Amino acid sequence: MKTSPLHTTALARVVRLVCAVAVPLALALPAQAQDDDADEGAGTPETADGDTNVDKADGGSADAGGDARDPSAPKPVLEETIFVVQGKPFLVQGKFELTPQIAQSINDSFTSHTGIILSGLYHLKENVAVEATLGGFGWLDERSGLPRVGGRDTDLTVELRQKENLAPERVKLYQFSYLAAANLQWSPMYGKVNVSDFVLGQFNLYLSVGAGISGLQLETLTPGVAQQNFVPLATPIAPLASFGGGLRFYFTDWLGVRVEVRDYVMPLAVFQNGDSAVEDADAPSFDVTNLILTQLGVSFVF
Amino acid sequence: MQTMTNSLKLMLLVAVAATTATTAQAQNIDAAFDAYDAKDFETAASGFYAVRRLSDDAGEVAEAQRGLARSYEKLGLHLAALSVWSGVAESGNTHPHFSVAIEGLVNAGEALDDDLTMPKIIDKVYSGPNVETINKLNPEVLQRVYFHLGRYVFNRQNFKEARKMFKAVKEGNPAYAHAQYMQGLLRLGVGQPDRPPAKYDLATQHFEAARAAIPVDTKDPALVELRDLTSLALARLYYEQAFTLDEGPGRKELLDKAKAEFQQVPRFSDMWADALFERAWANTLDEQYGRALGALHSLSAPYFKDEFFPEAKILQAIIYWYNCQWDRVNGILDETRSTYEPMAEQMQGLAESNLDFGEWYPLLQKSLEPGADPGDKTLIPRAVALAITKDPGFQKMEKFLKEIEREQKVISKSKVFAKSDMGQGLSEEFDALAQGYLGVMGKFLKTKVRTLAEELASISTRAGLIALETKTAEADWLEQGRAIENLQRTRLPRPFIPDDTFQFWWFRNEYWIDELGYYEFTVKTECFE
Repeated sequence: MKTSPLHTTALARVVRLVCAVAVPLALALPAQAQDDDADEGAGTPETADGDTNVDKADGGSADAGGDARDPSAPKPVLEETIFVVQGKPFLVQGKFELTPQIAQSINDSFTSHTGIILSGLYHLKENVAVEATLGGFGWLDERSGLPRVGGRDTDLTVELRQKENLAPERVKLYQFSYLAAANLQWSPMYGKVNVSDFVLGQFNLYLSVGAGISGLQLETLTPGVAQQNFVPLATPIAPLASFGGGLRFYFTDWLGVRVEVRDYVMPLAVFQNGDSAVEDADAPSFDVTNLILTQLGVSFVF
Repeated sequence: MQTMTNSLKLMLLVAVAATTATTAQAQNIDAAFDAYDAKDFETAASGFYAVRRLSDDAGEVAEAQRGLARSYEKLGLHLAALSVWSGVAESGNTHPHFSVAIEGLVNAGEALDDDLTMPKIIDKVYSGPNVETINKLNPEVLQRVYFHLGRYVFNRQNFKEARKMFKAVKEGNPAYAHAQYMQGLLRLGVGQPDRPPAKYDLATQHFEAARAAIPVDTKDPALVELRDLTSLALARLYYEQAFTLDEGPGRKELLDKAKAEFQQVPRFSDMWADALFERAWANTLDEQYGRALGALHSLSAPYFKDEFFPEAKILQAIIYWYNCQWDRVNGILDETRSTYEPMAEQMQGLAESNLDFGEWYPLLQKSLEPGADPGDKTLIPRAVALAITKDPGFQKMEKFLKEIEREQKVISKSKVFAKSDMGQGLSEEFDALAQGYLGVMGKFLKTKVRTLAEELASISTRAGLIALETKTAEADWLEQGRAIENLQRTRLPRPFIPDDTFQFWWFRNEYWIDELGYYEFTVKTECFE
């Protein structure tokens, strides 16, 4: 019946992907592009099934000399060249998107960050957006049973402190309580996905770059004891640059999911002297810290 | 003396009995009205039914008829209501509720989407002194009456009278859009055996007026269907005009208009398949062979597996013929003949069989059963059976038959009806109606099978003609030393992409529902000068 779902052969999951930069280029030079396609056909005569065939010298007519053919010659190609030419779905251009996300750091051996990030986007174009991000980190202190703001020491750090009385460079123990950033997003690739005819949606892969600030915390240097108090910092804020990329999938024109990996890069230091000196610093240390977060959220477009 | 005394006693007894009966009837009708006011429509209907059957008082019977029909309406038993209103209407304008009955008939008929029974009754009563009474009806109701009468006489080929009736339906009336559409058909000469010259401009005006009268956001299925029908009608009208013209800007403009109208038919609507198929013809005439083949390709998608367009193969063959791709033409024609010739023979055999009309609908149902043997010559071929079920005329009939079954079920399940003689009476009435209707459907099905058999035979004939033309062309090619077999073809460039608001995908033998209707082939002519 007409309402019955469409079958899509035996494939359970199929994806169609287009590189967004390819289309404008192709449109800029349509004639050339078509010639190129024709050349491609001539050079690699691949059928829709992927068979390789000997090319016909002139696509406009069959060759008169073709009567005496080798019996072992490839079979005639009866498959057609078929395309789908459809209007692009403009789902988000000129719209806002709000995405609450959960975030987890994935690269840090000494501190770990878990938090919630709220991201607001305005899509200037279908594949270009500006984004404002605000996030906070926290964790549950099992000893006190109370929630605490910021990052926490990893098990490795705790073990080093408690069993070995060791600690990494002090600068590597900075924790982040919040972050705020502004980003520019660009989606160079988009596509659509069909899962067993049950889900048919649009997706795009995007890259993101931006800048912002992050709140800093640094624990006091108390050998053998972890997760204690923080030292007062002269400047408890660090500038950051963010780089990231992700995948955004829209189920409908208002709802989607988004997964991304983002690197927040911050130049950090622990000074022994000067205005920014940390009061219990045992040695100066410097680092360019990469806080890499995986973020997963639900997008609401409006 | 004794005899006289006895007679007096008898008279007295009769008088008492009569008085008692009258009082009982009066009490019954009062009770029925009370139940109606209390919204206990089953009890009300049962009471009115009893009074209508048993009362000798004409005035009371008339009231009971009206009350019964109204109770049926409230219970959603439109068929039962139609039956009661028909009885009242056929009594003529001397019946105190004649005008109400005409309105009730129209309402019930429209609720049932019945363009067979209700218009027939109205046509029957629209005569003599009744006409004056009907003409005094509320203008809104009167114009709906005119529309139904117009369609009835249109089907009976009284086109002049039909036009008069449709013209009487004024803007703002619920039937206005339908009436305008019918006037458009009249202007085109549709269904007229003498085939008068089509008045395209006037027909266009009527169709456009019909479409304009339908609210953009309407959810009424009848109006939504009418809007699509109007788009199809306009598309066909433009295509027909273009077909008569020589190649040039005029023809191109009309074909563009036709294609635009075909695209007005929404995707996934009931008429989408027709629009796709006919758009393929328009594209062929416009020499946009890739798009024509693309539209036909959509129809081969699993989504359209229940659609039946045998002519699509002929069109495909024609397109390849125009592009001198003889191997493809031959392949399609072989497939066409091997598919449709046995089918046509099978259907011809069925049409000539001695099946009673009452046996045709069960035969159709049997042919559609999932386990039906495709090789069984006593069945209707499944593809044809499915096509018949999509015929609007058949769908209306089947809907009517199902409504009979539905109302029968409602009546049999009602405890109130079961206690009264109404349940039994109505059930018998509906049985007779269903039996009669099966006969009507059987007649329709037999005609349909015969017509489709003839169409399939015609397709085989056309396939034969194209095959003949192809053989001639092939001989010509061979004479000139051109190859006609074992041709090698490469993948061709993609079709034209209008701008960056469009995207394109390869078709890789996998139909995606969002891509249906957007396929385009790249066809390269293999003809030579």
